[in-house]
Amino acid sequence: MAYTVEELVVNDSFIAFCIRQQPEAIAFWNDYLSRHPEELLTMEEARKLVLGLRLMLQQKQNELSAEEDSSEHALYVVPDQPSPEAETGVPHRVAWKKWVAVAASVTIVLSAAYYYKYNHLWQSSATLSQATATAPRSGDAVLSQPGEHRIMVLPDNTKVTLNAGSRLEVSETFDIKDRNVYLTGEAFFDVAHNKALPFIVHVAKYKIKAVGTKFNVKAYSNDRFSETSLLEGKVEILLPNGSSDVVYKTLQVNQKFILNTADSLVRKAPVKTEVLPLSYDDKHQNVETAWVDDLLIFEDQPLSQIKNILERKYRVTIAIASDSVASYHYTATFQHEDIDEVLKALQLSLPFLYKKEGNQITLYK
Amino acid sequence: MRLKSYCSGKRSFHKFDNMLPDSWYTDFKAKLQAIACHFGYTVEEAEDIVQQFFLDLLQKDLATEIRDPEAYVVTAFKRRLIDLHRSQQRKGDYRDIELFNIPSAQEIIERLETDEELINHIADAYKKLPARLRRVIYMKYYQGYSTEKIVAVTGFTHQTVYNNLSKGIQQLRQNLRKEKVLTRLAGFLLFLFP
Repeated sequence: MAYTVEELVVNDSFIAFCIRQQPEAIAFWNDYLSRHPEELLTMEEARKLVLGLRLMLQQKQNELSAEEDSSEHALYVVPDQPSPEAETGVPHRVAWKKWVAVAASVTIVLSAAYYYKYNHLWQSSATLSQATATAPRSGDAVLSQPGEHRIMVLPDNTKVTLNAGSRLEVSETFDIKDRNVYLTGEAFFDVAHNKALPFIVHVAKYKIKAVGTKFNVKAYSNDRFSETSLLEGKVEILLPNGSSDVVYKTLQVNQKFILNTADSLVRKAPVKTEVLPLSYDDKHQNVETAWVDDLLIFEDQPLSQIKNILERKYRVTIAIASDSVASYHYTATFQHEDIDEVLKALQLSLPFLYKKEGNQITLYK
Repeated sequence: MRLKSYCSGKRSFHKFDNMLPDSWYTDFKAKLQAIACHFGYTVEEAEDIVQQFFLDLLQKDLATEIRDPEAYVVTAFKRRLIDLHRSQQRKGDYRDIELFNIPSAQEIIERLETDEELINHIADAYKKLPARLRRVIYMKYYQGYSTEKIVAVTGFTHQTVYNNLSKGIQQLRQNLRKEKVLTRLAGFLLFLFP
């Protein structure tokens, strides 16, 4: 296989060859040239481009600092910073305090609780310190790693916060012919208003159509349920019907649509759907979008579901060795706790044991 | 025929290590073979010519310091090709070999370092790129990030970063070609971007 100039110039190994950095890269490309002597001129042009670009960027360093007021001609473009609104992502909430509480929904409530003063109107510092901003364009796809949030502004000015372990792809014709995005995982959308081009989120088994609104979509491939929660405006839930889509439901504010994906996958049963009100804890914190504020809120959730959330947030793999432990239900809120603190707090309510080896955690009775 | 003498001679190659660094052979062999192929020799013929060239180079006294081995070897090899061209009465003009410009890495760098106008032309071509393409190019060629590192830093998928880099380089080449016509600096730019 012969490489084009572009393919060579962007190839890390070829760059190492050009700057004589890695013996294995030098050996590889010498061997390549031996096998493809006809590629000599292509390789030479690519080498000139690599060296030319490197040297130009080094020599023009003084122009690289054109940051805040960077014009379209600036050499370097500062990564797009999200607006304050994009950083917070969620509509107004009152100032509130951080608290940690764990309760077993089955019986007892709360073994331990901690209360700390929290000064920010928006909880944001922790989220922002972990979140990285980006500005995808049409055709781009953005990925967030476990334990990471991504804040982005799409070409139409829609703000998106991507939860850990998620992927969002923007259509090739975004903001030109459509406003289609494709999501795996979870994201909070603050959609810019545009009646002419509806904003459509595609997830595995349905679509969410919005004009200008704020909503959260949770559609992890390894979760039993997929959810769309509406905080502002209106969205339509579109379910596939043959080759077209039908409007299953127009969600009202504070409603969420739930689709039971496991049932349809395992038993080939019809997709099971329902519409429920959103959940709020006793501090008026919306449960469905709490992750945007770096909060972990569990509302009567089984440990088998909590496991997935913890895995994404803390970059760990959790195995539950006991079925009875997997079925423990918890109601709890955490903020800024590490994985050990979370597990210990859960242990206080409904006891289980756990061992941790590196990133592997096993829970057992 | 001649290959036999090359093989027997190759054994004596290392006797002259103190005069001709081994690395020259491994570093430049492929390039010289490709140059020979460029002027119509088959791969086998090119291998033979390069072998003999290095054997002959071993016999030479290279006592004087050679600042740019790549340029030295390529220039000497071009001379060898011209000699062969004449002796074998090959078709075509030997001056094509003479004019064949394939600068060494050091020559490229020196040219860039001393030619402000040339750097400005590359900078102008770069500035015309859309911001998102400039961003990944900056990360790769100024910050020295690998594609994987750019993926980690930006959050874009590997495919998106790769596409942006490829598009960036593609557009940069187009811009450089336009610059060449517009600025009539064909001499400079031909040197860098044929």
